[in-house]
Amino acid sequence: MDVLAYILLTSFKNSLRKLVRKPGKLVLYLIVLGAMVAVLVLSLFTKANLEEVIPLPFFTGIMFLFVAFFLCVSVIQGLSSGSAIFEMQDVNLLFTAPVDSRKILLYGIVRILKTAFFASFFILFNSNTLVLFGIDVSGLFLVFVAFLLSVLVDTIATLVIYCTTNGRPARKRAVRVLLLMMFLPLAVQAFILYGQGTDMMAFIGALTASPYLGFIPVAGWTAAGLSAAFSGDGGGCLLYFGLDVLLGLALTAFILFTNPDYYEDVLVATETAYERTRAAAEGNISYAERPSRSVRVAHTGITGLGARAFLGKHLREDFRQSRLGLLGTASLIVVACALMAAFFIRDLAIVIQILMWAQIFLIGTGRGLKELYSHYIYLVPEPPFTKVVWSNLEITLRTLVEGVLIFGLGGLLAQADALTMVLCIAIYTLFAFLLLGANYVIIRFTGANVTAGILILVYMVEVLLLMAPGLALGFGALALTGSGFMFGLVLAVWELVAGAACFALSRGVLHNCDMPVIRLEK
Amino acid sequence: MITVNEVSKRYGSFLANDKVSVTAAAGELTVLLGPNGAGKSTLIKSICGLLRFTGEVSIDGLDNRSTEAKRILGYVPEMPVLYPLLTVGEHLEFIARAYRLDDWRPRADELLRRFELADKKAKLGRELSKGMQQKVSVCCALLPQPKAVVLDEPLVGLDPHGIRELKAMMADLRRDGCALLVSTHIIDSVEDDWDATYIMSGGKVAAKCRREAMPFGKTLEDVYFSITEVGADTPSNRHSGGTAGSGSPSEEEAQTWMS
Repeated sequence: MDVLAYILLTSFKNSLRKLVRKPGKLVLYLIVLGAMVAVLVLSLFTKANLEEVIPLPFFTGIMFLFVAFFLCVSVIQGLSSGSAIFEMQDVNLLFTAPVDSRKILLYGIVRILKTAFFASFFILFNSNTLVLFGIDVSGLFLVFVAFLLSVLVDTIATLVIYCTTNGRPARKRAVRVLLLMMFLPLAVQAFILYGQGTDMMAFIGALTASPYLGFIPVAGWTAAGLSAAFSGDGGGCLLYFGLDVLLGLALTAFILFTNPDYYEDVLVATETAYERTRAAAEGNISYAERPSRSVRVAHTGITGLGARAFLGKHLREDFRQSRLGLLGTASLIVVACALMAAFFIRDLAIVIQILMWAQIFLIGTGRGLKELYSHYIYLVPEPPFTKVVWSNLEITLRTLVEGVLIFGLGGLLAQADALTMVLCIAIYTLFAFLLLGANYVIIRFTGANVTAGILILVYMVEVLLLMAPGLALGFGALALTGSGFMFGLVLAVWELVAGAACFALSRGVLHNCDMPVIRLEK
Repeated sequence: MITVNEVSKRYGSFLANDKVSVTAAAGELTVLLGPNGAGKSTLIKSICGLLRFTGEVSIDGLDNRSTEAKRILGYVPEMPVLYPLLTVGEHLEFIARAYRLDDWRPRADELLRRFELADKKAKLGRELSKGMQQKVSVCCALLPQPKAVVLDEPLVGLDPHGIRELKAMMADLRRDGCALLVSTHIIDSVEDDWDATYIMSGGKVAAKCRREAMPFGKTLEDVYFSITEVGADTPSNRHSGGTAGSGSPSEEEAQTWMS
């Protein structure tokens, strides 16, 4: 048997065996599958009770933005470290073996397909949302395949960009300009339409039907292809998806026939990815997440004594990472998106709902939780609870600053009253407090000694369970008083109480549990 | 100084440490030897309060999880973990502030000088090689002038100067009455200075030796191989059942060359 086919088949067989040996993972897969089926069933009810579907251009617009985001990330990655389509064992064993490098590249692309499959999997959970656009189960699978195809082409494009621009600043500039030029005509059209005061429906309709959309590789083609498919335009569908496939094939052929000696080009990305995975597994979580850009050391020094030194250290790290300190790039993106949403939707209640969903995933970006993965916080001679409190003030302060910006400025844009703004800031900040507590409870009682997938699942369930009573009490208050403000107030108080309870439950996290390690099982 | 009494540590069904008892006295270099998977790093992490365990660990008579015990304990992990966005100088400042140290700068400068890091003070953690990270890690552990220091494979990744300097530093600490507990695979690195050695195998202490009680002409290496290459034990033997595998010696069976 061919060595590459052998590796693929044996890896697949071993992963199945592992599932049997580690039933926890199998249970997780079954739960995920069950949840997917549950959402599918729910979508049937939604469909039956749906009075009006959201016009298709909205869906096309969302898909376009979504795929465009991944395309931009891929291009940026190609301009920096490249794409890790191989693993270190491939580098050590395959690259040195007497196997045709072209065949090895094809093997790498087959492996990307597997990664792309898992990256696209979340689409299958959106059947209930897609029904709102009039898209049924078969449509859902088409969206899944289209997104999978776009991820695959993006990854190959990353590799090509890296191979052709690595160490060549002029070419890198050219790629950036090209990327900008691709989106420019559509952006200009959007600007003109906005200037003409076109209403939202006509604005989105005109942009998604624009010929300029079809000029944008991958993002525009995928969105236009799906739009054509759901409009019954088989020819358009074949054309746009065909373009995606052709681009992927052309890029692969480009590497195969122009750069068979691509080993050096993929080596940096592979080694970087490997080092990060290894660092995370060894507890060096900060190293694992270190940014690739250069950092200028202007000011030095740390403030605070005892456990307060953790806050001083975190602030120094924040200011070193971003000139705005607490407000890093991620925060700025959140604030900008939220302000845009506040401007267009003009309803802070909807904005805060979206933000709270995002908070569930973004809370882990705080430096306090990451401290648990290295030994310093355990060894510092201060009371454990004090250390937990001071090490989490950074994320709490950051959330408060974000909240003030979002609901202060956003409140003005949405013409909300001052009391509503203050309440939104409180709900937003206290939700971060609750989520931090929820994380500590999990680490306290599992020791984080489970795979990342199970950890996320347990965390999601825990957050839902913690929020359920608060929401129920809030709705109760709403029913009794008819006041949305009372709903928010009750929810904020609940977040405070539940968060405090979580912290109380996890008091011994630095005393009574193992230092967690990141488990990155594939 | 460091007293480990009947410590057991389990990871699920895997028994990593099985009623291990170890003592590292003040002014002595105590060595933990053993093959890969013998349970040395687990024991060290338990001593430093990074793992939950059953049994007792005390530092100078204080429970190892107490604030007072932490104040007098230094730890050099096997893999150096630095903060990528802090400079070398800031790592030491962070430790000094967290431990509430007074007049720490002269000592910090002295440590940096000894480990050839004085000119790297403004370098970020992410800019250092693994060897340099290890040196910073050692400096961080020694800055609070601990009474007991636990070092897990401290020489791995160090350059020849770093190795020489760390060995000299350990000799100085020992002379000053500090208790040193070192886990290593490089027997040669401790052959000259060791006072007591515990050879671990299969999660247990297989042999305990004191230098003065060693038979004439017998080296630590001889003892090590006589223990570890008889009745070979592997970590897989220790899964399930709650007891060590048949290859592991019991506490009573453990060979001793103790004075």
